[in-house]
Amino acid sequence: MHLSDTARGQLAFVSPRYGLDVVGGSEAVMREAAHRLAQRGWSVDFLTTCARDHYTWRNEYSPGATEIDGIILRRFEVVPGTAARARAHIEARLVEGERPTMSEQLLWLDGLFRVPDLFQHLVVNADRYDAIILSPYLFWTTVVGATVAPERTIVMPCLHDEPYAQLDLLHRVLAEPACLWFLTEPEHELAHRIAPLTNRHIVTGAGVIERESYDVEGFRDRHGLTRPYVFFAGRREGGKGWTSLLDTYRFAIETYGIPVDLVTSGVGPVNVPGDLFDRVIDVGFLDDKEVADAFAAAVAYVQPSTNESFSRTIMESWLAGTPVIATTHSDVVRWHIERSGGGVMYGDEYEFAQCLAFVMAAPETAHDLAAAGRRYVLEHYRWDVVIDKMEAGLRELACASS
Amino acid sequence: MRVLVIGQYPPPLTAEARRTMAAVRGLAASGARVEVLAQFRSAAQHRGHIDGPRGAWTVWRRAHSYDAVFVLVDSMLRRPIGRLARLTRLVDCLVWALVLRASPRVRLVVADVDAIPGSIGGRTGALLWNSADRIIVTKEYAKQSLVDAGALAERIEITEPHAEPPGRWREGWQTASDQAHAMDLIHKRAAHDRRAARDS
Repeated sequence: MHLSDTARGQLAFVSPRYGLDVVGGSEAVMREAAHRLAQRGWSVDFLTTCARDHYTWRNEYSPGATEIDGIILRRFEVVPGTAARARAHIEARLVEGERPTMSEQLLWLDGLFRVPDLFQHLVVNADRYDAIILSPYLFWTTVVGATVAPERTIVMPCLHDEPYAQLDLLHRVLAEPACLWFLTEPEHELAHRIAPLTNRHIVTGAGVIERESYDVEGFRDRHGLTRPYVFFAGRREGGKGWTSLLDTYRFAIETYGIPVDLVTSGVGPVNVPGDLFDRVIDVGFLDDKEVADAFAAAVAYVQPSTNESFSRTIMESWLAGTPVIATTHSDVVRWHIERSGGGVMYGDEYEFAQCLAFVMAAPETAHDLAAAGRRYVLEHYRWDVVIDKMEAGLRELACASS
Repeated sequence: MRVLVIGQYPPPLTAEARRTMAAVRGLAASGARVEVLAQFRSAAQHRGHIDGPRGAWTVWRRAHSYDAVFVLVDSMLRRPIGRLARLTRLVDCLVWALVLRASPRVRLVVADVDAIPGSIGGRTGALLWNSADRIIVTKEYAKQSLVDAGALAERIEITEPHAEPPGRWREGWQTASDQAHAMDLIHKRAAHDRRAARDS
């Protein structure tokens, strides 16, 4: 099944997961970019796995090809990793600063999942594609997929300052492809600090969809929310700052008595401490429209994660007219907030409490900050601006390889 | 009164370390002369094993030198993992129960019932709570949870955590007219409160 070849060329997007019900920044950017490039006349194959859940990597979708909104979606079955214990052991050593051997790194990579059929498809069909775009940097699909046709491969690393980034195996993903697309300048700088980079690399950014309207009161009614709340959306994991957010939030409301709830949407266990059961409210996994309303109805969006390469949620918050309270320990988020003026930052629980106090006690100024954030998103991260940069990168790649 | 607090202490600033600091803050506010024993000496006066049987030995050895010893429960039990989890839990609860019965000066501080390694309940949990002469919690919810797990209600004491006067957080934001002024105020107010908590 092929879409007809067009004047613009044929692209393969390779991502470990695809779907509107998939939570993940890299996956969302890849999905949107693929569809928008298809709208501009590129012929796009989207190669992905049958997995939906990044905790289990279980095959939940059917394998095979389907056409979705102008792209061909090809799903391949995941082969589960068989060395989970070895992978966990290697990760523990990584966290302690050790550098595993190359064979251990390969064991680590294979320990989560493999997709040999996807690789086979790339090997057989690589010549059909003018460019192969892979993301994020640390999964089997990218590390292995990038070896097929490096001269036509673009990696969108979505790099974080995390222990995995020290693996030599992953450094090759930054050094060997034809081009790298970064989402922000701090991610670009981090990559330079971590490993030698391929000569051609650009900061494309990522796009965010602007809504025409938001249903604030409807959202509150539908979810029975009666008090003001701050919002967190995404993966509830330690690495995304969820655990630390529960601690800092608890400190703020216990010490200062600030009457603001914490509402969360997304995936992963919420693990609400028993004494916060009526203050931390999980509204479950929401579709794009509903989550946009959740942003709009919040007094602030909280970004506690230090592992961000772009931070799409803070953009969505600003578009919805909501200011951001963010940790100062993420270079990327700090960069956005300093450039935009769209929020306030905290370094510890005392500052977090004061950030909450500020958005609650000075709502007009907080609203002004959100407006500044909105202007920033519309100037830099509209999809048409981002796709222009990606197309320029694709044209440059075509010139270089012709 | 000279007291010893045993628990994790920064750095790093973990949730357990925060809870130990809160306990130190509360005891100091009540007039006690507080010393801390932690796994790493960095910010604590004393260093030693604080969890498992070796932690219990540390407490038993030091208990007679102080008027009271406060042990943070989330730091004293090892986090059981793998096949030996049950055995680890059994050994820890058994040894700590013996020390608690032998040293009435030792008080357990349960800062967060949801953060007790290996859960609050079970027969091992009941053994532990029954052996403590005094258990200190900060909330009625925590007290009820411990009673449900086998602790005796009359041995549980609820202490209020350090709290600001209600509503004070609202005051003083008039000058936060833009991001720079808001950040300036956030830093200053946080620094003030941090200092006040340390001094108390």
